[in-house]
Parts: sequence; C-alpha cells; structure tokens
Amino acid sequence: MSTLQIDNLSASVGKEQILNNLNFTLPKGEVHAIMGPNGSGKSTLSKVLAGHPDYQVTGGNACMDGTELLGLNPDEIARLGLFLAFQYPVEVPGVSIANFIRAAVKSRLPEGESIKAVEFYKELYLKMDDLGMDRSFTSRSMNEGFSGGEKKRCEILQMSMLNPKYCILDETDSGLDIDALRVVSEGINQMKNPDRGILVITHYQRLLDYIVPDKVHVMWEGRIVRSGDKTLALELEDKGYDWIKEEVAAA
Amino acid sequence: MKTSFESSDFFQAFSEKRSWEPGWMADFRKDSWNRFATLPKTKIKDEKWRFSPRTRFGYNDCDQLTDSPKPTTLEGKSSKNVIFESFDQAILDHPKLLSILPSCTGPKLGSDETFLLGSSFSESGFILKAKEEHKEEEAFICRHFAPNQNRSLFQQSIVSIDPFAEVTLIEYFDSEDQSSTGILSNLSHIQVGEGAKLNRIVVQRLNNHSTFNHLEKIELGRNAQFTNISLQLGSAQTRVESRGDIIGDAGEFNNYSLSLGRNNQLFDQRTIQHHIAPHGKSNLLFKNALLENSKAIFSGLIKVDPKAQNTDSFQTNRNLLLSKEAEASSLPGLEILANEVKCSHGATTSKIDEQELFYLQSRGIPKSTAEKLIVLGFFEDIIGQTPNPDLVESLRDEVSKFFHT
Repeated sequence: MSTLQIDNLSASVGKEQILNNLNFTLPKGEVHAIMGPNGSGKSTLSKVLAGHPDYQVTGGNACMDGTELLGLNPDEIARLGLFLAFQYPVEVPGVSIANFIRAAVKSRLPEGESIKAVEFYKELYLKMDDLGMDRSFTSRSMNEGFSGGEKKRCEILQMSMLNPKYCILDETDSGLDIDALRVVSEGINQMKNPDRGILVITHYQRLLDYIVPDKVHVMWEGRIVRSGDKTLALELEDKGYDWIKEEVAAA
Repeated sequence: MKTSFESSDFFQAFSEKRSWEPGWMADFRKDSWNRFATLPKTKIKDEKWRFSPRTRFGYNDCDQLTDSPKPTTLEGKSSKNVIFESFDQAILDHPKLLSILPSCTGPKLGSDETFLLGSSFSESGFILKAKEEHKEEEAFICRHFAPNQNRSLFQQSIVSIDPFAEVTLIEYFDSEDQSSTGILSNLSHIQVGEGAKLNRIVVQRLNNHSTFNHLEKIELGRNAQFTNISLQLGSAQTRVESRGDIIGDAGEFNNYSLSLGRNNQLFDQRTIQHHIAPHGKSNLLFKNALLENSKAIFSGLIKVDPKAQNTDSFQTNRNLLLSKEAEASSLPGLEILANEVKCSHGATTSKIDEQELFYLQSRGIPKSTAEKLIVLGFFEDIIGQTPNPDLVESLRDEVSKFFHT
C-alpha cells in the first residue's frame, strides 16, 4: 500500500496520445529517476498525476497509498500528499511567497484551524536559510522576475514546507548553474526519508551525481521501456538513447 | 417615465422641509432644480453612456427621498486649523465655504441629471477644509450611508486644502441595511491648493441591491498633489465620473481604482485627466476583476491643452475576467494639443491564466481560494499605492471579505 503505483496508464492531450500503457511503481523510502529523450512523455506523466485539466486520461490507474488519483482535482491530489516541482514554475503577480505558501499550508489544516504565524515564519526562514535564499524573498511576488535558480529553489522551499508523501521533480536541473544545482540537490536529499517516495525526472545524468537514485527507468513513446540501477544512467550518458530506441523497435 | 423629482410640488415640499436654510442656499437649490427641470431629453445615442445599460441608473424606482436620512458620520475633529463638519452644520457655520457651490460644475461626463438633482436635493455630506501649512497626521474619516426602502439620498462634499497643507481622507460608503434597495448619489468638489497634498481613500461597500453614483471634480493648484485610491466592492451598479483638472503649474494627479465584480454587478467608470497648466503629471490605473455575470465599462480621456507643455500623463485600464459571462468594455482616449508631452494609454482584458490556477491548485489550494489569491495579487499594485502603510493590510482585508460573500 505504501506506494505510488501506476498501472497501464494512457493519456492524451488533444488528439495526440502521449502515454501508452505506462507501468511504474515508486515505493516510499526510495528515490527513482525517469530519464528519456525529448518528447517521450516524461512531463506529461508528471502533469497527469498532478491532475492537470488539459490532459485526458484514456485508461489505467494511478494509486497513491491505495487511493485513486485519476479524476481528482489538482488541489485534492496535492492535499493527499503528492507534490510536483514544476519544470517551468509559473509567475503569480502580486502574490508574495509567504502568502502563497501560507495559503497552501492552510489548505491542509482542518476547517476553522489557523496557522500559528510565529511558528510558520520560523520554519519558513529556517528552510530559506538552508536553501541559501535571502529572507527578503518572502515578500516578493511568486516567481516574478526570478532567475532560473531562484525559481527552482522556491519550488524546493514549497516542497519542504508542505511535507508531501511523494515528490515528483520535473527537470529540476534545467536552467541551473553548477552551484545552484548543488544547493537544490542538497535540498532534495534532505527530503529523503523512509516515509516519502521521490521521483526525479531528468534528461541528464548530471543531476543523479547529486541525488543518487535507487532505480533508474527509461521512458520512450509514453511508457517505461527499461529499468535498472544507477549504472543505467551512466550507460545512457555514455551511449545516448538510440540503442534503446532500436531495441524497442526490434521488440 | 417621469419621476416625482420633476414635479414642482415635490421640490416645494422639499424646500419647506429645508426652510431653516439661509436664502442663498434656497436660491441655489431652486436654480439647480430649474436647470434640472429644463434638461433636454436623454439622447438615445450618447457617447458619454456608450456600452452602459443606462436604465439601470434611472431614478424611476427610487424617486422618493428618505424621511430621515442617516447623516454622514465624521471621525476626526475640527480645530483651529481644520474645519471638518457635516454638510448641514456647515450651511449654518461656514456659509462662505459653501458659497462656491453655484460655480461648481461637476465632472460633466454624462450624469448632468444626477449632478443637478444632487445640487437641488442634497441633505448629507461633509466639509473638510485644512488651513495653510497645516499638516494632519491622523486621517479624517467619513462614513456615508445609502438609503433603504427604495429611496434616494443626494449628498455633497467640499474638500478644500489650502496651500502647503497635507491631509488624508478616508470615505466609506455603506448601506443602512443589507437587503433593501436605494440610490446614493454623491457629489464631491475637491480643491487642492499650491504645494498642498491630499491623499484620499474611498471604500464602497453598498449592498448588492443599491445604486451608487459618484461624481467628483478635482482641481489641482501649482505643485499640488492628489492621490486617490478607490475600492469599489459593493452595489448593484456604480457609476463613477471623475474629472481631475490640473490648473496650476506642475500639479500631480494620481487616480487608482479597483473593482471586484460579482453576481450581476456593473461598474461604469468615466474619467478625464485634464492638463490645463504645464509641467503637470497624471497617472491613472483602473483595475477590474470580474466574476460571474458582472460587467465593467471604462472610458477615460487624457486631455492636454495647448499651454500644458511638458505634461507627463498615463492612463491604464486592466480587466481580469474570471468567468465566461463576465464582460469588460474599454474606451481609452487621448486629446493632445501641446507638442512637448509624454502621454500614453493602454487597456487590456484577459481571462484568468489557467496555468497560474493549476500552479496554485497543485499546491493544495482549492480553486476558489486560488482565484481569490490571483485577484488579490492583480489588485496589489493599486493597494500598494496606499501612502499610509498601516492601511495597506486593512484594505487587503476589505477586498478579501467581499470575495465570497
């Protein structure tokens, strides 16, 4: 039961079928990586799981600790404990980081209960310090005018404040310089614990030097075509994706 | 259809009720009423009412005055440097201040009828006068009340800030009760003298059956500064007409307004930034967030006279639509007769960004709360203009409270 389990998931956007009978299981306590070339459906998978309304599920199941996620609203899925760190975090003009995270934390409290402001800010500041974020950031509008690195740090900050059961990090390494990559990876590593599953979606092996996965999966044409341990990532880095595409075609 | 306001017997009865007033006031009312009674018939096509369902602002259903109008209540005291009194009190105490009334023209942006009715039948309002060089830290607060029981209430206010004085004024417009219908028509005559500074905040929270007419004319002297922040939250329909005349060198006029439309609400906004003298600055930003079946109209003009060289003037209208039924019409305009000016205008109407909504929801925030946060964020650059930082949070709360009531 303590898994994020996806069975035969198929999904489309518009008329285009993107996920094709995808199967995948992420147990709590583990870090998995999904790699794959552009257009293989990695980001679609993350958005479908998070309940994005633009994607139509055409078949299959996605259960988080036994609860079906498909068909739920994005906010319900999030409150059940799934967190998606966006590849391209969205700018929300006029909504400060502090207010944004407060609203997210508050949405998880029972009705009538309110946030204890002092404790909230204490925790927020502590986590910002860990991520090397200036405390004055709390009053800035969410992601507005942020650099790539600042946006990704802000995603990790939200993730750690919301304490999710499962995290999906969609190309969190894109747009990061080497220092930011290290800080962000440390933030993710601190989130590792036996009660949390982490899924890292990436193009490059580079990120996996910092976040060592228990398993690596390769995605192509909307499904997982190969799984292995961390050495699979190194193999891909070395040989590219073509050999896997050829193997799939031959099969 | 005729309203009882047009009947001379009705005006006569009203005059008798106000028989305690001095003769000059009675003459002014009589003259205003005569002008009202001889107003030409409403034109079918009137550019000043373009896009507006004009009948919604008619007096037919509310053509009686209240028997005992709830007077404007004032918080903040008169002193040797400040006169702050109700309209009725000022008629007796400060006739000289009110003697400007016959020369007041109002904004002249379409509501001549309301302006003349207001001049004839005003029974409420206030006078605020700050004397030269007086700087008041505390804000002056006025609470105005819309009538109930299908009645109309007309009121007039005069704000006169003498040279180099500085004042903050907050005006709340509320309904007497939450269920019944009424029309509140308010005329404001505002003069800011040389080097003087007036900050004014308007919070309109009428119940959703009432009509609000808000007509104002602002005159700015040399180096005078006027900043207005309006929160239009309540009413079934609101018509705002705002004219800012920069008549002294380097006067500065800032006009910021937000409207939160829900249900079937209508916000009809007509503005003019009129640069008469050189080196003036004006900045207008009107933002409307429209939910459900609500509707907003913005029509604004920047007018720069030939003598008003080196004018800096900006006008922006932004509309955010949160439903398919909500509607916004925008008519920005420029009329520039000077050749050394910096002027721009712009209007945009956009739907709520689905990606933004998904982003907030993906953090667990329910859709309705996410929409509210996005709207509050949209309004932030209006509320953020509040000169008094202590007020910012309370204005945010005002908007927030109105969101899902």
